[in-house]
Amino acid sequence: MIWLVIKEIKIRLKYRFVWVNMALTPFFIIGPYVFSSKIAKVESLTESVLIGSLLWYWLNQYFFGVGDAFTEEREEGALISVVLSPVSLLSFLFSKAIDTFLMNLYITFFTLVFFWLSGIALRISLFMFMLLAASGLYITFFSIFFAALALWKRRIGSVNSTVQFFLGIVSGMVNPVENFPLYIKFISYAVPLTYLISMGRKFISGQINASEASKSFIALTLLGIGYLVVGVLFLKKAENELRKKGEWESW
Amino acid sequence: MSLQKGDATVKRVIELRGIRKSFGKHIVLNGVDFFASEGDFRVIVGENGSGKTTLLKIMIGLLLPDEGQVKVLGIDVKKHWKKLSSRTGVVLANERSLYWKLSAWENLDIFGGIYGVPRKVRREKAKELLERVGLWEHKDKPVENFSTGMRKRLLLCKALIHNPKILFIDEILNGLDPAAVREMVDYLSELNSSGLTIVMISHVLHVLPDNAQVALLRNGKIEIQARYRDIKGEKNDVYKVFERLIKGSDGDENDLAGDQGD
Repeated sequence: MIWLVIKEIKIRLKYRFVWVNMALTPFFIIGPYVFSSKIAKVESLTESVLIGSLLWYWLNQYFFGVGDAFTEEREEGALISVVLSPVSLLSFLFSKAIDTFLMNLYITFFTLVFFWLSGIALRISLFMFMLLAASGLYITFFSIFFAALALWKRRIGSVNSTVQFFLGIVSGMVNPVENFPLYIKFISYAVPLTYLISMGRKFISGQINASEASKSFIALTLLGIGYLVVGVLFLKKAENELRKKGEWESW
Repeated sequence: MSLQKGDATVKRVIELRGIRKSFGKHIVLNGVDFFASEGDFRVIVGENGSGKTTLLKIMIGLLLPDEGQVKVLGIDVKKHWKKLSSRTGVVLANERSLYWKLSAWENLDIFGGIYGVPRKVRREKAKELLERVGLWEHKDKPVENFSTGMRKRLLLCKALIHNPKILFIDEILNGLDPAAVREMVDYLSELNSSGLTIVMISHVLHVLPDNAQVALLRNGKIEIQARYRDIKGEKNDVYKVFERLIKGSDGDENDLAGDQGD
């Protein structure tokens, strides 16, 4: 699995401008949300939007890195080599997740530096770092579910960006889910990102305690495992379908 | 399963029985039996669309047959195809199955790593392979700058990096110049002489090794199996012989001293 991570990094090192793009783009994408929130002149609101949109950006990267992994490798033509190797499809997705995690650390560092230069600082403590790391794991499980769906029904991959924005809104990226109507809340609490954003915000405002954090992590873990189990089952189903139809190289 | 072949005991490494495969209403394979023993050099020939690649993909597990048994190296490929991967090497016709942005050396290093080849062995093997196929001086060039012939040679290196027991090859000779075809076949013969079992699909027929056993796929079945030297005959006009065999227009197949179905 580690060899696939090394491969990703080696390929990315060939494109120097990708690193510039990765360092700048998140700031420009989430900047409008964060700067708009400054109009209210409430510092906690700005921080709240920043943590929400930053975590949503992490989800975006996982949806591109893991959720789109099969499509991307198919388009390159190398998926068949991975499929023929001893690496399982699940290990392949985890290798993409590790690569995405490393890229997200790089992205987050520069994004926070640019916001700090713009007068908006987010306190990165050990808890925040662990929250980001945990979000990587839980969102990976969620993305595996999406990747398996996209492998099975490959047209689903074409709505990847739409799904990302939908998930951003329903998980309370800008507006906390408590303000949503009940039927949207029902969807919101089925999305792991909702819990992560909520915990991040409560931490910033100093409202989180050990008991509440534990409850959120238990809910998150159960939800994450649920998505992982369903994702693995879908992955197996997709693999069998592709072995029947012989469409490993189609995209 | 072991068989007596001359005086030596040889092990059967590929056993396909009653393979049927359809795509929709189109029947591609209609009861194919195919066998290979350790050290065989098998070549599958047939018209475009005759099901050669489908058959090869079934052997390596990429494709599931509708019916039939597939055993390679004693492994039930339908159920445990991933167990087979570290013991077989596969060269598919798709040149893009390499990482084009990486160099030849990086590709072999990465794929060797993926197949669990230890670092020292992997590097020695990569050097040996690249030197043997004449790519050593191009080892640091990205694959995207390679010619078709160079990519095909690298695909072969990639398939051999983990010392497989069986090599499956799809159309590796297409698109190569005459000298490159000869060199490729010579190298494959050398590998085969050292004990590697080879199953190859090819439309390039004039330079196959004499000991190759050729299977003709026609109408969804393997209809003829014969040694290449017997097909080639004295006239050496192998394409005409094959053309007649593929069309099935005369009694040539009766003149072949084939070893039908083992």
